Amino acid sequence: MGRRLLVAVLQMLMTVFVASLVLFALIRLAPGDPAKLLIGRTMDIAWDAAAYESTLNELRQEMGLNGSLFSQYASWIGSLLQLDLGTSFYTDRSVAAEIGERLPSTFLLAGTALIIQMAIGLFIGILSAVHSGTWFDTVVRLLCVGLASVPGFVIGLVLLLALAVQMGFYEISSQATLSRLWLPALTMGLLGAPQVIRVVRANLLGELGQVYIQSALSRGLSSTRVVWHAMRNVLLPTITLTGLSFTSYISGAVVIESIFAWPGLGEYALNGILHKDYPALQGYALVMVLSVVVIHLMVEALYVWLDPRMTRRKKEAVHE
Amino acid sequence: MHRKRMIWPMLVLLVLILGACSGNQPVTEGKDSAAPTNEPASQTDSKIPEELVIADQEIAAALDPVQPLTSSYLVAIGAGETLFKADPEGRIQPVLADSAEAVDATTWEIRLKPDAQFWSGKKLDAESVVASLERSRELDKQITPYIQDLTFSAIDESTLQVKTARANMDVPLNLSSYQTLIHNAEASYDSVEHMDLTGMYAVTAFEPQKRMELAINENYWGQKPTVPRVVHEQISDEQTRMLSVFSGNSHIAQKMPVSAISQLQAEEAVTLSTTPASNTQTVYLNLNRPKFQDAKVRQALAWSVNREELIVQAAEGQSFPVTTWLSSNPAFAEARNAVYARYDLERAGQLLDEAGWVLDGSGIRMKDGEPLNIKLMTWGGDRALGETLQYQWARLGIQAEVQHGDYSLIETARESGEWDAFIEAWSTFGEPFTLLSGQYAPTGGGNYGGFDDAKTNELLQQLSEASDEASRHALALEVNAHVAEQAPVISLYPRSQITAISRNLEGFVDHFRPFENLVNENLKFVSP
Repeated sequence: MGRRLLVAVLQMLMTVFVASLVLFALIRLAPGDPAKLLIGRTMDIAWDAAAYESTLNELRQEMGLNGSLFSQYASWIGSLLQLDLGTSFYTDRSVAAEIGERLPSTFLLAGTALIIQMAIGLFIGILSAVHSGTWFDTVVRLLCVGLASVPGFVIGLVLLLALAVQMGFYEISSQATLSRLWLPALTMGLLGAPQVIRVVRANLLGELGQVYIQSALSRGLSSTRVVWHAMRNVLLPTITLTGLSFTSYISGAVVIESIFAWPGLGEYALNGILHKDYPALQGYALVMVLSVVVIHLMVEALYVWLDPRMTRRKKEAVHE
Repeated sequence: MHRKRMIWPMLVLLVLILGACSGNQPVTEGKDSAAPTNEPASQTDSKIPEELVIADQEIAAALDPVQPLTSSYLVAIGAGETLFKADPEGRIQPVLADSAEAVDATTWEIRLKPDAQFWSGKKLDAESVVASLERSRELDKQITPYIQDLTFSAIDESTLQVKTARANMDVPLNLSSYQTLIHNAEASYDSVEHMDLTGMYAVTAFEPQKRMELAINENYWGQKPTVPRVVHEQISDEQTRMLSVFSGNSHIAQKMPVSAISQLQAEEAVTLSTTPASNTQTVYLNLNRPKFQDAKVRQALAWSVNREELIVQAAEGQSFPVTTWLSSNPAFAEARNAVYARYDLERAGQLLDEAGWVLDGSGIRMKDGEPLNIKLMTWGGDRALGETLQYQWARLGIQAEVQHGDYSLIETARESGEWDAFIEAWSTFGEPFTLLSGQYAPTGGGNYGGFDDAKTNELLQQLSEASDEASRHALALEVNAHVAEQAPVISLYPRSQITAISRNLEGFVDHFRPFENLVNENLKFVSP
């Protein structure tokens, strides 16, 4: 057990290291100079070229951008080893503190969206499988295709127009309050639900066609109990989907956070991109990588816990 | 029956989840915040709001005025002030200064308002003004072009002396920029409790890049505002900002897109401010390209631009044509149509014929077997502008291609020299010599195309030496017109700043620099 844990942690560290290299390179390869952005762009007075170059060089030195890419990377890794994510170019604040302020909002939104997604997905998915081939099933499938093909920002804006402007149920502001959580979470949940519905429906249909289900029904078990038993086998792919959804909600909620002015990490990343704020972007990306790796590890552990056969299968494979 | 047993617990669970989400407890709170709430429009219609909510694309990322753009936001929302300020007509008016006098060509004396003070009650004296400006000089890179040629000292408690490195500089104009915001240099700017500015509103709570709350500064030296509180909120998405004003959650929404004008005009609860700003949408041409080294080609491009059509297509009609760069500045409005006074496709064609670019059978201008093509780079909201220019130049037989993307692509192309043309809008408000030399002197930071013209350089030299305001103005106009004739750049129109304002808010002043003139003491709510 200890050895497996050690291997998993080593794999995790290796993933994070490789990701840090790739992220660092990608962020630096993007065109644009953060120092130039800080000095000012449009709406500003034009500088004398010599004074501009001198100030730019001074600023680049202060920002640590004059060294080679290798030395910049080494410096970043050195700081990371001291648990320091660096200082934002734009705000001059600690990136760790800034991420720490926004992380709870993002987790709250992602968690709530996930609950809504799973609740809708499981509920509708089960009903759709049980009533397979009926008008209900057809309507659900059409709705799934519709939701999956409409971009998130369209649904978000339509909901805002209806619920904030027309009905006055929702407050548009920049605060991360519980009263403002439900609409972005509902939007994300609605957008993610079709995936769960499809997975639950397809797997449950497969299970309902199994011999043991027919046998249970012929012995007089109620259909609810039979579905309950079948759901145990549907749970595994659903858990995988849950893990994937959660990581995508945490790392990819940029559009929804922007539309609902939800002050989470997605908006933070967007600001970082606009200002070419390397430390902020690197910090954000690293936290996202860590979150994804940890969540995947947890999903794997949950898999093993729910289905002990997986451990046995691995052991058998090793002995063979 | 059994099926129902399964369905109902799930329904109850769903209702509980949604119910739990509809609580009203803040997750994050500002320091010392009064935690004002924005009630939906339906609840506030019957009463006058106590709080002015401004939705902006971005708000301050820090409290310290020396951090990038922070001073701009602090001035805009009435928290910070400068010594001077431009009024809506472009005239410089004293704010914290009482008067300014040029003692000789390189010396100015500025007297401060006798009753001006910081939020803390500390008197604003000459020493504190010098300390503020020197702190900004040391820590804020953006202030450099405004004060690099200025030296400050205190003559007495209420008089500031400014020495200039160059003769006849307009010091009040330079000290009207938001970067020169006056702050207490002895204060620290790590929290709202410690910061110390002079404006009519004092910051009471702050969440970086999210929300800033302000209340009336009880120590304010001037006329106090009537709206008790101001909230400056960051709502990045432009559509959401618009919906925020429609819903009544915000009273002012800044930086609305041109494409939203018709929607905003149709909304009864909203009025629209579409003030052309003091900047000029300009096509910069790369004069290192052989095709643009011939002035006739550049002039042909300028003659073939139908600015009225551009404004309709790309700015929803919310601007006015300018044919010279400086004329979007209200002080140089007389030069708006000084050159290329009309759209003249025929003349443009003649110029290209004379330059050897003649139409072939397929309607394309060719010279030495090569077509006349232009790759025009655009960014931000300028795609429609670029595409309209592409269409207009195609009438002349020019193959134009629009490349729209992030501004960094333009920067990268400029650095490599691999570009034909791009659209940019620099501010035209400021000291004429600094502005014009920045654009057209060989060492100018905004002279991207490498324009180097003997007559322009001579005129700029004369402008730098001109001793009186009238001759400086005349020379600036001459440089402006001469450059327009040479057409290293093509001036189009001022970019409009579009602001949506609740109809129950009165006192908003249209200003060509709206980004720093948002909140004033006369703003008040009225019954709808």
